[in-house]
Amino acid sequence: MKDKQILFLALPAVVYLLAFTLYPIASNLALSFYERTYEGHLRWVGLGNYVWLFEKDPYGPLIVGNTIVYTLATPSIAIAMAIPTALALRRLGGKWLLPIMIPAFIPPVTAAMAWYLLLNPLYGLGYYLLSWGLIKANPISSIWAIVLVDVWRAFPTAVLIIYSGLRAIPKSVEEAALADGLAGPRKFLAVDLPLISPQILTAFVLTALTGFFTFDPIYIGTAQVGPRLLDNLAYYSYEAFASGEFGYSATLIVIMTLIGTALSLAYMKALSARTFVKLPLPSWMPRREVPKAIHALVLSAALIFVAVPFVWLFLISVKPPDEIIQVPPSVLPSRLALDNYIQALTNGLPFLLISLYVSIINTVLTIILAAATAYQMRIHGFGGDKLMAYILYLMSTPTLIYIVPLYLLLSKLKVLDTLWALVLTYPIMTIPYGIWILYNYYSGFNRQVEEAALADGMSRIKAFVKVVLPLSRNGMAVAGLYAFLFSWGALIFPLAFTQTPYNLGKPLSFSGAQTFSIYIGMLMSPVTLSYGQVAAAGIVSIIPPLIYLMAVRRSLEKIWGAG
Amino acid sequence: MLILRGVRKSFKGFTLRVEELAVPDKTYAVVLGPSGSGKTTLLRIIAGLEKPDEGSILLNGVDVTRLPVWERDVGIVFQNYALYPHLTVFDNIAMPLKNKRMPKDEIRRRVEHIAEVLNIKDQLHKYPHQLSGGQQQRVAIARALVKEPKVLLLDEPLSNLDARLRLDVRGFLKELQRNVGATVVHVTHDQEEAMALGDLMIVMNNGRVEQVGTPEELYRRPKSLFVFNFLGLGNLLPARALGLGGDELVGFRPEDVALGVGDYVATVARQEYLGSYKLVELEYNGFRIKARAPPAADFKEGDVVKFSVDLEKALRFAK
Repeated sequence: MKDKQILFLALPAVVYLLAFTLYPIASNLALSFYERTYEGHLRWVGLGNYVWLFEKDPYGPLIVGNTIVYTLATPSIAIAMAIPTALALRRLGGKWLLPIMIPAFIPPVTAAMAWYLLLNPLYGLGYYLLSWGLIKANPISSIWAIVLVDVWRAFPTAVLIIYSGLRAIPKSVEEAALADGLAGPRKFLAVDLPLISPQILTAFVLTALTGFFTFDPIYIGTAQVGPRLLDNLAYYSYEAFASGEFGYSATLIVIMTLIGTALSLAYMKALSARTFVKLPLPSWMPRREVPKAIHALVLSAALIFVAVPFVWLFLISVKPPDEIIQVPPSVLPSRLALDNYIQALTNGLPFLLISLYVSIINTVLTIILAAATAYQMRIHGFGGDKLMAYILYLMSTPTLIYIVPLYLLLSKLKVLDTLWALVLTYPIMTIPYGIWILYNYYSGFNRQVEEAALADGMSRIKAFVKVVLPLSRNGMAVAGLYAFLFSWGALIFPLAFTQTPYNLGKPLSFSGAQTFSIYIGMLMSPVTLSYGQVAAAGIVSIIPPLIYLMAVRRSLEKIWGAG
Repeated sequence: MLILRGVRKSFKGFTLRVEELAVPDKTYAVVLGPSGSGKTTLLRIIAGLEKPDEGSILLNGVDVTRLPVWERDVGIVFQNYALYPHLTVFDNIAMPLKNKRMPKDEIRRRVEHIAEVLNIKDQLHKYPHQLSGGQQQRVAIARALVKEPKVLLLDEPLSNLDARLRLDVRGFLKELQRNVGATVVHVTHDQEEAMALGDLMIVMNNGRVEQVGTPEELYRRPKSLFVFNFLGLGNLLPARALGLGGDELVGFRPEDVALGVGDYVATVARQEYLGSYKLVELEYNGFRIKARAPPAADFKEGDVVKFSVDLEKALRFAK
């Protein structure tokens, strides 16, 4: 390497990532060949765990079946909806993109909880769906409720990617198409669709990964309808972990890691092949532009789909207690009641504090570490293609695959159930994303700025801190936004590494570290079930991300290119 | 004959107005103007990519103002070529014909013919990103010409080529136009390119047509100071400075100045050796005058020289 200072800036994030991801991946594989005996020792069983899953586990077929449904249905539906929505955005203006993006910015637990409240067969709109005969079975015990939640969460990302693909089509190519007699649906089929096929593939893979590893909706759904009905591999492996079956959990995780890796590798290969899908162009395909009213209709439908759970959540949160459990359910509250909020905030305070602490600490850490590494990667070629490929790989695999080895590691460090367990592990999910965002951001960055600073007598480190960082505000704001969202909405790590709420009696011990997401999950379980409180907590959980989102809106739109 | 009549098009802070403009058949017409003069808008209105607020466009006597682009019988070559990246060269060129529902073998025959004319027949199976810039441009031209349009529109076709290639392509374009017998409207901001190519030059400024004519008419008999300044090098002095009567300005070209003879006396301020000639800049009573001298002419900076101006060729402009 050319320069020690480049290493100094680039290495912290890279060393951290390698230590906290490569070790767990390897350790999972090793663990998958063991099972825990009743005395708590690990015993070598060879491929026994794998055989158990495919041949003996009574839940095996159900779980594999559910996983397949989630993995294929989520991307198919999300993309079928995203393409017309993206076309409508192009026609009607990108200012509607931000409201459509909101589901991607709220905690997944809140999203799932809001949908479950909405679908509830007694106290939610599910009652009317059943009584009008639109559906026959209880909607919340169906695996399609999980698909619905995941489509809702994945839809914004799919729209964003496809819309950016449409916008990347050069204006002159559009005009050339006009000159060649391509307009309306005819042009869409001959020009737009082939040119956005890489974006459709990207969106498909990303949303398929969402479906494949989906966890939070099952966590909420299971709290409502009982165990095993909705499980996929991801949730089932968490359950195995939670009941102490580390070997079996690791086995399931190894299988998921392999499938996830295969998906992301196939995807990277497909993208680098730089091929566009070509479609036959039937001669009857019309040239006439789709009327603007149709586009407006599509966009309105998308906005309503996005808004409905929020509206219902808000309505419940301000209903007086007796109206919440009224059958048939009322839509509007008879009066505005704040009882739910007072309860949710009083009981939820320890959880809220931990979520805020860890989100803020992790956001700052991520921004600094990711910016330093991303800059050296992009401008000085640090790490080359291999490091970038590994970063992309980490982005496409979820945090679930690390829980077993990290749990064992954190218990050795004696930090389980403290704030430090979360601070140590959260960067695993946020640094790769931060590096990726900033890496792309720095591709438009003028490296001569740093060279001028060096010529003026600064060291590389000083030049980075004094010159590069202040010029990276937009990129850092957006990387920070994603870091904050992941931290704020995280569920799997806090579930795995904490057991008790923050001990407010001894605040500086920072022990007990359950987060607000866990609090929401707890409120949904049959024991404590309190729909009013959970709805209020859900609204509270939406506020910090929305504040951050509004604060960095301009930076975000610059990076989306949708301004 | 391509005719624009009473065309007006307004954008924020800019209005294009063309009272009457006619381009005869099989003419190589060049629209020349600085950036922001409206030359590209003019081209886009002819193409149908912009609808004029008023006025009409007539092509061979047919009013095409309201027709969509593809029904206008024009071919367009875009500045950055705008090829379809997902289609082969063959499919790129065939696209306009496919949309006319032409039989397949007729499409093949026509594409191969035009590819032959443009010397890209061995590239037909490739994709645009596998071609050089010059080859991409030929594909773009082939795509525009394959439907045998009456008018070929070229938007700054030479601006993305390097200086060497630009001269070759310039000659090629003119020969191509003569061979296929199309009317060409070529937009450029480069006055040398415009004079080299144009049978007819249309000089634009501030959204208006300043002057229309052959390159020689425009160079030698510019109707306005703008045209005089925009085309080639020129000298502009108050008539009094040359001892002539009147309050006007006198404009003349460097080649209308003879050095070594005459009644005026000046000092050599600077000289540029340009290969085939030498450009000498004179200091004359506080004015600068550019003069053309043979390449071997032996001047030094500071030399005092006599000079004369061919006043018959000089032009007078109101101040």
